[in-house]
Amino acid sequence: MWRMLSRMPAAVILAVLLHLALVLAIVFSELWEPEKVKPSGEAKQLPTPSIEAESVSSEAVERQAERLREQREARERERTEAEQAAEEAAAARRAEEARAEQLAEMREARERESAEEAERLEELRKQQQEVEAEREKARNEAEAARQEAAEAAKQREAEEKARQEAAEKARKEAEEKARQEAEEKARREAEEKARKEAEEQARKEAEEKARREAEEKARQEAEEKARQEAEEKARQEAEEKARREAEEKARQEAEEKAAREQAEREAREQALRDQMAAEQQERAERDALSEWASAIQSKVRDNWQRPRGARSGWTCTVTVQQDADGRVRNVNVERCDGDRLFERSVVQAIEAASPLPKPEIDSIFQEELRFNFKPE
Amino acid sequence: MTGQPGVTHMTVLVLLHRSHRWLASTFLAGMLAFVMPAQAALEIDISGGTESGVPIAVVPFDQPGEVDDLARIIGDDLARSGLFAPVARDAMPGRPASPDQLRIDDWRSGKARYLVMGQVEADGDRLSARFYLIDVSSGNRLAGSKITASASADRSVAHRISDIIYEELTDERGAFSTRLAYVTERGSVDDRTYTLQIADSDGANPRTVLESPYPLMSPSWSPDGGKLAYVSFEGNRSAIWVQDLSSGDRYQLTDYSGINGAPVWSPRGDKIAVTLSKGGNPDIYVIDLDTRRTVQWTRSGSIETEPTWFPDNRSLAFTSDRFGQPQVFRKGGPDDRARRLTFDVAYAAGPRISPDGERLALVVRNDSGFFVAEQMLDDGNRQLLSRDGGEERPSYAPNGSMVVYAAQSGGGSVLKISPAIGGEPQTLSYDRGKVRDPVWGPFSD
Repeated sequence: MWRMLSRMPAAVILAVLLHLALVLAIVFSELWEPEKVKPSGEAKQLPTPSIEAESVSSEAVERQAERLREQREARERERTEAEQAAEEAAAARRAEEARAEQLAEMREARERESAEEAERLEELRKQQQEVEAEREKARNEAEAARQEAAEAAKQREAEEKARQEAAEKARKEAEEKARQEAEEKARREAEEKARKEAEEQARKEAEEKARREAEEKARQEAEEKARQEAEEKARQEAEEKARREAEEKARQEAEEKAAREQAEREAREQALRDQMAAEQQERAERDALSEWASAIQSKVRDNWQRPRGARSGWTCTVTVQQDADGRVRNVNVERCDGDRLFERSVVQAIEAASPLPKPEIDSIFQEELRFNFKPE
Repeated sequence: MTGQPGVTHMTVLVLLHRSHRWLASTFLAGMLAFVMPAQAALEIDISGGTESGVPIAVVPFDQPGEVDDLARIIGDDLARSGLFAPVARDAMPGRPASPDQLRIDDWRSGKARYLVMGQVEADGDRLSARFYLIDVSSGNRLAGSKITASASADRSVAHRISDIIYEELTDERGAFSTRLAYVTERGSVDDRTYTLQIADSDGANPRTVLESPYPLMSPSWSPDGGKLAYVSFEGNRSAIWVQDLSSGDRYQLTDYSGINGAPVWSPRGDKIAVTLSKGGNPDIYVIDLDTRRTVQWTRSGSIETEPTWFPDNRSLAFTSDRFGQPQVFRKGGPDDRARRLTFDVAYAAGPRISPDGERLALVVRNDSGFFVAEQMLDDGNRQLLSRDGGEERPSYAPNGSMVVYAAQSGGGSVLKISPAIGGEPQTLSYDRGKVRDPVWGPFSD
């Protein structure tokens, strides 16, 4: 359809328009004559008015019948008129169709005559053309044979001439060739000899040169190689040294960094420990002080040889200076109620106990100590 | 108390000067007390210790062989005082005679706290001794001097050195250069010989100042040490005599009927207290040596005897059995009320007042016998100074540090010296018969 439309749009559009026009015409005709079609159908199917017989008023029935009769008559008239019209239309249509059929027959007859005439003319023309073709063919064949004969003669002459020339030429060429070959041979021999000598000389020189060159080359190569090796070695050593130095430096830096980090970490940990140990430190110091005092007391007491006769109530208070190792540097008697021997025994007890015990914790160490000696 | 050997009581006071904020005190193990006021050094109390004689090494002197062993004499002197304990010679790490020979570190590890060393040179009939007293603990030289004497006075040189050492170490005067007087009794009942003897303080060098077939009793030194008063029964009746020691001259002080006994020179030497029974009953009388006036101090019907002077030269202590058993009383004068000094003991006699007037030496009897004891006059505390139970009336050394007394020993008797502060008694050598009534002489100067 779309292909048709694209190929011949005018015809298609026309066809569509015609169809539309036809459809419009059919519809239009239907709209314009609706009543004419319906009554015929309804009249035949209208039920028998038996109900009228049952009415009580004859008058009314009469009027009703009359009116129905009038209506029936009217509808009969209308139907008749419609049937007439339909018959007239059908007749018209049949007449139209018959005339169209007659025209078509006439056109076909004329076309048939034309076609028979054409075929006959064509047959004639074909026969004429075949005759002419055969004539032309014969003429062409004769001409071709004549031309071939001429060509062949001409060619034979040419061939003969070429053969003679070629023979002469071959003979000259052979003579020339022999002479040339003799000259050539002598020349070649001389040349060969000279060449050999030259070659020999050249070979020797070349060998000598090659030898020297080889030696030189070898020497140079050796030098070059040595130089390269030295350079390579120096380079490698330099690289190695640089690498080692770099490694060493990196290692040292790493170590320094590690040490630094370690130190920082330790410092932090130390700070934490210090903080955490602060309270325990006090207690530890107190305990250590107690133990230290007890150790000093024990040692001094063990070294105290209390003289006989010391009386209860005697007291000697002495101040002692000691060095960091507990060695007693000075004993000063602050007050002594006892006699001299008692006082001396007190001083001697401390001196004999030197060096005094050292505390567990250095921080609690005190240079100065006070002792109270009592007999009981 | 706290379980540590040798320690009866101990308290440690620890003072913290660094901890101003610590004011609370804590007691640890019942032994350590902490008090922490501001600005105080660590303070430590030392109690207990070992009571003993102070170890002293008297190194044998570098001396000629004919001279007595001075170191031995010095060591014995010091030991008798009870305050010192001489170190045995085989325990000495060396034999130094002078400071340049002393290696003090060798001695520090030993037990000796003091060291005495010296050397003696004899030059004809003279000898000179040089000695040194070293504090072993500190290494300090405490004393040292040169003493010159006649060759025969070698023991006196030793006693002099002992006195110097004693005085240096105790701050009390030494009493080793003093003399003893005592009575000896020898022979059978039918042939008795009594002597009055004077000897050095260690019993050496005894010499007889009186020999008699009649009993001799109760010698008493004049305060200047030049005379002795004593009781002699010559003529079979008792009398009090006074004899000059240097000349040997003597005179009869009393010749009352009955008992004339127990003379005792007053501290100032102006009076002699005696026991007389001229009133029918033994009572205490005091005789003024200048006026010869005799004053009766006691008038009870009981026995009063054995007077002894207090240092005040006015008061006397004596024995009285006015309560049945002998007890010691004190009177401040002839009309003063007698005050009893001894209690809690059934028998208390033979009183002697110490030179300082604070102590009373006496004889007490208990179930084991008669013992020398010393009683503190202020609080009445009394301790025994003798050991055996057969001891007689003691006498104080002039410095009060020792008492001498007679003690029964076997069939006879010997002299013993006890330290006044307690300690082992030393027996003086005496080899014949009985020895009685020792009395210690005064300082010699």
